[in-house]
Amino acid sequence: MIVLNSSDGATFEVEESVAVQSQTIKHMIEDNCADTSIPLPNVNGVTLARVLEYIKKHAEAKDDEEGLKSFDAEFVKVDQASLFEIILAANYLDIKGLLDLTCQTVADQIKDLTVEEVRAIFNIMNDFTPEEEAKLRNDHAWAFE
Amino acid sequence: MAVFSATSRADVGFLHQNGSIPCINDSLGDDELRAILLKLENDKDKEIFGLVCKRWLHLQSTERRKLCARAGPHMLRRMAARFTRLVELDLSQSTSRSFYPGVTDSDLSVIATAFSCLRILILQNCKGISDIGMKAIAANLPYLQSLDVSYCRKLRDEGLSAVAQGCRDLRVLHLSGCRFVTDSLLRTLSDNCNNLEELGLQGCSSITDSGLVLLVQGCWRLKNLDVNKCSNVGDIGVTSVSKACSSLKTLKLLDCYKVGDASILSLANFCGDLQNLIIGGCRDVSDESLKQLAVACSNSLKNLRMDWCLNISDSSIECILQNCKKLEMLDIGCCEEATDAAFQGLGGGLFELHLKILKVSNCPKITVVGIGNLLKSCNSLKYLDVRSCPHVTKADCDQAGLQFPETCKVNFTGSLTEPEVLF
Repeated sequence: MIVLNSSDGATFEVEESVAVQSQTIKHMIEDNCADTSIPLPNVNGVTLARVLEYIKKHAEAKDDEEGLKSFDAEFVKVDQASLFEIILAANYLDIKGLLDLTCQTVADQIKDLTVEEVRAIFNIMNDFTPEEEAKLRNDHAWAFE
Repeated sequence: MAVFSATSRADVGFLHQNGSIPCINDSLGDDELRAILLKLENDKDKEIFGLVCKRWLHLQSTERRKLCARAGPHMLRRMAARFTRLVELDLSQSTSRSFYPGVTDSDLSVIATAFSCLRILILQNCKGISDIGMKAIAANLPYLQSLDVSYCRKLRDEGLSAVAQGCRDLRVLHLSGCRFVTDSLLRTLSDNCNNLEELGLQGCSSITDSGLVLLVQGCWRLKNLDVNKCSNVGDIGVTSVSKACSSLKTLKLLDCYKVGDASILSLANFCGDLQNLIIGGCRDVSDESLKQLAVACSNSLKNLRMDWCLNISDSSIECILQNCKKLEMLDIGCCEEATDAAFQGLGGGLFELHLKILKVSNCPKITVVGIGNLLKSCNSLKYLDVRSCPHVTKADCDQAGLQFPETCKVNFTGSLTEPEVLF
C-alpha cells in the first residue's frame, strides 16, 4: 500500500498497482522516494479523493468498456472549478486517461460556440482592442487554409 | 455542489457578472490549455480558440505546424510574427498568377529569418523569386529538409548551390522547369547533401550524363529521380545511377531518347526494388533488356510507362504481364508491333492481374480478341485507353460481347479525362 499526503494534510492509502496509473507516482516509487509516504503539495484533499476514485475504478473494472464509459460520463459532471482542479491534478500526476477525459470535456464545451460565447462560459476578458480583433478576423477570412 | 453543463447556456449571461464562475485563465496553466486546444478537432474551433484573448491566441499560434497560404508581403510579415513554430509552409502560386507580383526575394528573407523551425518549404510557380531569395534560405534555414521551387524560372546554379551548401540535410528537392540548372549544381549536391532521397529535374535540359555520374557519388541514397525531358541523358548516366542507388524506387526518363538497353539491363542488375519506371519515348529499348527487368523486378514493379518504344514486341509485353504480379499501370501506347499474342497467355485464367490502368492507344494490331483475353484475368481494371485502335471500337466490343468490370471506364475516342497517375 502507498500513502499519499495532500497539500492540506489529508492522508490517503491506495494499492501500489493502482497508484502507478500516475506516471509521476510511478517514477517516485521507482526512484525510492516513497518509503513512508508521498507528499503531493500541488493537489488538495478533495481533488485527490476524486482522482483516486477515478484510478481505482479504472483499475478494478479494466475490461468493462461499457461500465467505464458511463462512469467517465458521470465523473465529469461537476462544476467548472472542480473540473479545472482535476485537470491540474491529472497533468501534475501524469494520468493520461484522466487528462484526456477532462480536457475533452472542456473542449466539447467550446465546440461550435462563437468567440463571445466561449468568453462568457469561461469568464474570460477580451483583451484585444477592436482594431486588433478586426485584423485577426480578417486574417482568418482569406489567408489561411 | 452545483452541476454545470454546456446546455444551460441561458444561465451563463446572468452568472458571469457576479463572479461565481471561475476564470479559466486564472485556474489553468499554459500546459493544460494546450491540452484542451489539442482536443479540438475541427479547424473552425481552433480558429475561434485563437480569437478569445491574447493568451489563447499565443497558444494557438505556436501550436500551428503547417500553413498553406496565398499571401502578400504584408500578410507574410504578420504570419511570421505569429506562427513562430511552423514546420511546413506552402506558398505555391497557381500557374495563372492570381495576383502580382507574388512571392518576392524579400518575402523569402522574412520567411527564412522568422520561421526558424521550418522543414518543408513549397514555392511552386513563384516566378518572381531569384538566387537572392535562395541565398537567404541557405543562410538561415540549416534544418530545411524539403524544398520545391518547380517552375521558379529565374533560379540558377549559383543560388541553388548556396542552398545545397547551407541546407545539408536536404531530403527532397524539386527543380522542374528550372532550365538554367547545369551539371555544376549536381556536383554541389553530391558534395553536400548526402541524405538526398528525391530529386526532380524535369525539363532541366542542360543536365548531362557527367552530371548524373557526379551526383550519385554523394547522393547514393536517392530513391526517386526525375529526369524527364533531359534529352542529353543516356546510358552512361543511367547506369551510374543504377549502380550507386540500390534503393531506387522511381526513375523517370521520358523522351530521353539516348537511353537504351544498357540502362534497362543495369536497372535489372542493381535496382531490385524499382516500383515506378517511365521510359516513354526511349525508342532504342528492345525486348531482351525489358524481359530481364520484368524478371528482376517481378515483385516490385507497379507502374510502367513505355509508350513510343517502337522496338518493343509481344514477347516482352507478355513477359511483363506474366511476371510482374504487382503491376497496376501499364502504358504501351504507340508500340506499333504489339499484337493480340501479347495477351494470349492470359486467357486461361491462370493469372490474376492487379492491373488498374492499361493504355494501348495507337496499337493498330490489337483487336477485341486480345482485349477479351486480358479481361479474363483482370478484374481490377479501372481505366482502359484504346484510342486510335482501329480494331477496338465501341461497336467491336459490343459485338464481341466483352464484359468489362463494373467500375471500369473505357476511352474509345478521347472524350474521357485521364486518371491522374501519382508517382
